[in-house]
Amino acid sequence: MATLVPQAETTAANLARILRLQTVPSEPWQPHQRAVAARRLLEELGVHCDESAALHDLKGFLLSSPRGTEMVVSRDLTDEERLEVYAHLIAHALLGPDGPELALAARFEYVHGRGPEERPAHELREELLADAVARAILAGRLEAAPRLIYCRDLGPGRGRFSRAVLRGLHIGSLALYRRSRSYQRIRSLPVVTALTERVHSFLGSAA
Amino acid sequence: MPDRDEVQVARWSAIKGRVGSSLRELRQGEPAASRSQARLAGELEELGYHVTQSMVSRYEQGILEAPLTLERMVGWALCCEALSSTAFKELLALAGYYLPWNAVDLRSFDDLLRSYRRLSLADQVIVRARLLWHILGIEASDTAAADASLEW
Repeated sequence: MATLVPQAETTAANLARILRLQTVPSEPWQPHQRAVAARRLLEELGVHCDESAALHDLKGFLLSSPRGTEMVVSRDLTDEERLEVYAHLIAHALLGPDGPELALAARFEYVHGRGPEERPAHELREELLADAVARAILAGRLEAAPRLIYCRDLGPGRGRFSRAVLRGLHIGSLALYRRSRSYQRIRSLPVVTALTERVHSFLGSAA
Repeated sequence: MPDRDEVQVARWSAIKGRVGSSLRELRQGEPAASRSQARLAGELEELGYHVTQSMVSRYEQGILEAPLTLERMVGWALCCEALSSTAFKELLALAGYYLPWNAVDLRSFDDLLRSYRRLSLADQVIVRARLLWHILGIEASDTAAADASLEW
């Protein structure tokens, strides 16, 4: 399946991983190092990044086509803001369309207060969800988001029944996550994340 | 006239009137979104084309002998408010280029155009330049290989 970013799930997982590693208390990385590491990772995974654009109302944008994927980021952003834009665009890639072939598509990240006054409902819904997923990536805890967002293959499961239960739980969690900000907060709590991981391990591991 | 193949000249002579009127329709579009020939020439210049206002006028009238290249046609179309995926496909088909987009691709392109038109003009210019390379299949840093990269 082709997504807005090649191998979006792997890219998101790796981005979250390097951001988590860099928060090790003994030697935390500076924002500049984090932004450089994120860009390097994206480039290695096939996303062309340009941080030199003189954008006005946009922080950045993603363009994706069969020719490739590129992220263009405003040159005026701080390192932290640049990192946020990358995480946000990757979140959009996880949530965006997928299909056997990639169509020409774009995602725009607006400067706060400079976005269009009217946007289609589906765009607004995706934007709210992308906010939550981007926060999970930036915190280095992708697992704070429902698993179906970043891993559509739930594995073999212990059997047909447990696989069905597991799938139902994940679909329910994703549906709640899409609709409720309160659930987004609850779902990101470490204790809830740990619990869902345990349930997934129990039901999802092969017998 | 510069050195051109007879076949190329004959082909362009056969289609230049229809291509010209299609391009004029795209430029004029809805009255509120109409672009002047001067503005279009300026926007094409920003994209890296050397098309003057007089050339825009003569292309639209179908009286310019120099064939309009695929690159210019795509750039011209992207500058027009009235562009839609269907209009784009039809324009290119008129000029003999097949756009291999299915229904999903066409819808996706229309969505993209809608989002793109909501941007400020300054941002539109930057997005449009990138879009051009994606459609033509050329990397911006590798313009020398432009002709070789086309897959039309």
